[in-house]
Amino acid sequence: MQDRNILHPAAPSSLPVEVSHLTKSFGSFRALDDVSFSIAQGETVALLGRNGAGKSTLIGCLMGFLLADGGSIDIFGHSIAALPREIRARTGFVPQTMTGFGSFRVAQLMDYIAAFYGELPPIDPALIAWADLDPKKQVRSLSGGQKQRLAIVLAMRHNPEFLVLDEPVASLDPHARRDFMNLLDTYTQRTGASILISSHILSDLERLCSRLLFVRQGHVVLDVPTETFRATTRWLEHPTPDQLLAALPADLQILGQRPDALLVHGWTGDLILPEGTLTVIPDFEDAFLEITAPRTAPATETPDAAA
Amino acid sequence: MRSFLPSGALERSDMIRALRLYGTRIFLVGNPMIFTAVIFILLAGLTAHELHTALLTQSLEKALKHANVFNAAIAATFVQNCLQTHSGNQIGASQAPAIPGLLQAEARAAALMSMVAILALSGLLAWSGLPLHDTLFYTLLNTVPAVIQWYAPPQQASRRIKGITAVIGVGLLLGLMLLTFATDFPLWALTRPALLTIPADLAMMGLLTAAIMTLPNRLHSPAMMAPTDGFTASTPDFALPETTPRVAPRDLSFYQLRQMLLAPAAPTNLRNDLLTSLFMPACAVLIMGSLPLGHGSFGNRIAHLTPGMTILIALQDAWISNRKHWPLLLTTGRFGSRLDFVRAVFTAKANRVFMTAPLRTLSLMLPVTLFKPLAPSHALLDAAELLVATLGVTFCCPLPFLVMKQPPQGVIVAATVAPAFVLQFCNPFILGSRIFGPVALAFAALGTLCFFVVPSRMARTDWPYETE
Repeated sequence: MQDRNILHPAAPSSLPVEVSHLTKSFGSFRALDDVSFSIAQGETVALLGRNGAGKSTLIGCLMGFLLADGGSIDIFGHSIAALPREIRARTGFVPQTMTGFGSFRVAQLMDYIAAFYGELPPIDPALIAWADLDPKKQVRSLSGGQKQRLAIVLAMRHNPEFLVLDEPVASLDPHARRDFMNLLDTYTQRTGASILISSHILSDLERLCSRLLFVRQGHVVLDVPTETFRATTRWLEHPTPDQLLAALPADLQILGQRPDALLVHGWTGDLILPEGTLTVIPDFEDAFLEITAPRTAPATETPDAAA
Repeated sequence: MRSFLPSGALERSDMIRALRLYGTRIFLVGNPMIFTAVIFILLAGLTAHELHTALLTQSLEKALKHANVFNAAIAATFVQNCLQTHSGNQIGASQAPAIPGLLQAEARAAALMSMVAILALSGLLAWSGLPLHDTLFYTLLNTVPAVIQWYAPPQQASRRIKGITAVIGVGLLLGLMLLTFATDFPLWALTRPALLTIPADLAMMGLLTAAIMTLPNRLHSPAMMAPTDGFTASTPDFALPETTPRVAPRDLSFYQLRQMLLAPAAPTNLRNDLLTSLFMPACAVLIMGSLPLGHGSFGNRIAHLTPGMTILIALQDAWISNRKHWPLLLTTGRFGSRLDFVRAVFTAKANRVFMTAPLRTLSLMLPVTLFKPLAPSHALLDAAELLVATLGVTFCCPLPFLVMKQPPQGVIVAATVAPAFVLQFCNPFILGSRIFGPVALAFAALGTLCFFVVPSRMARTDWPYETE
């Protein structure tokens, strides 16, 4: 007889997630290119990037829905290519949009899905209270936001140790969104779970996440603890950025550039800067826009454009 | 592909849980084919009873001439369709691959239910006195189109894959119908020696099981999961034109604009529509007639085939059951109020069917008139009756709206499919012009009633919005 209690069968002995040199292409389009990162236990990592940057592809590969072309993904020390059931049971996934299961009633579906995880402790009352779903209602008749709340409950019902959320709050109202973010915070503190969350609500991510993973055109361009990002990312404003650029130390990372300013990472207060340089703490959204903006080969300036 | 049999207690209990769903209303809800399947299962039962009685006094060959054994085959197809819809709802769910064991459990349960359904239908036919291995052989042969349909998941497949599999499935179904009606295929299939049928039964069951067990791989394969946004965000490396670029490569014709109300995803081309209507039934009859199947001369084969082809001119698309595009098109304001909009849909359908139905009828009648040959007056009368019936059948689909405010999808689908099948079995070639005349008029009356009464009722109902 196989062990029914597949929840938390052993203390985690490996990092929840280790991604190494991951590549993934769709035809000639390279969606992910040499992506490497890891997530430690208890970390809440924000996956940031524009539409089409490769976030959903990365999540698809992480969950084993997409097959990587190269590199490796280990979840709790097991390759995603052959993830044992007991390891899969330690993960949870919230999709962008919940589809399927339309013929079930809410309570029926929750019971049906829970049974695949074996014996489970009673559901967290805070989660149920937040979801505020009529258990007798049919899934197909739920609104978009209600379906999303149900998807979140289904993903968190078994207290996963590694939870992946792919734009989970896009269809939630501001109340539900804020309450969910608080719930997620409480959940990570209570269980020590690791979270990877992709969202376009930057203020939520900045508040909730301990680490930021910026993705641009299939590459991880910045992987940094949130506190470090806040402390060491600055706009350096100067009338002649070229002069500023020449004066900066080589280990300072240039994240973006405007006609009169550079966005740098690795700034410290004792940095010696050219005279006339202003140091400005960046707004998180501005920084996001700058870091994730697509990079193309510089276009030849026409005289009109220059004027 | 995982093994069909569960490898341990855990997988077994998962499968049992998935199997239990088939005994609940979860299986019935959102399964639009269920009513049609039940109708054909009842018809198959009736056929088995008729055969049972007939076989007491007649030879199998004679008994089969009067019993419509094809009902069992159609029932098998619809049952497979119901199983496919149900399992597709679970297996195709966005969270399903993240739930340990769910995909395999659902696939195993679907495969098991599929086999049980086939065995039950074969058993029903065997009750008439035919050997079970033969009835199983016959049912399985007729399930081949349904096996193809397992490769065409309802929602998740790309349009190209869905199109190809649908064409193959319909082609196989029509082929089997033709074999059934034009040849002695049922007699042949139901009298094969066990030495042939038992290995064939096992092979076909294996094929069916494999098709179902690989469904999770197809529904969640990389091709299906490819994100759509990954190809849209790259910065254009060319200068944008000063004028707004055209989205559509060319203007839609007036006909196409009207037809968008019926099928917005693929506006029909008038020329293709007319050519298909004109040539498809005639070509199908002539091709099948030229095959060395059945007995008698070419003319006799054509005469024998034509009744079985009547469905070709009567089968309807999902113009009423598929209304997901209505809210979007309504908001364009192009079609006026809700009532005007529904009337525009009905008018568009009438516009199409008044052009295509005469061509289809002509196309079906021509071979039988030329090669049978039929007397011109006789052929003209048959054609007129068929045309009247076909026009009526077209507008029978919204019949449920006459008696129900919000009919379930299954009822609408049944109302779409059933009249075409009624016409398949009650047409002038089988009943004769005199008896079929009132039938045709009854169809026409029902269609007219729907055309004038249903739009106002549909205008006052909820339209699909934010629902699956």
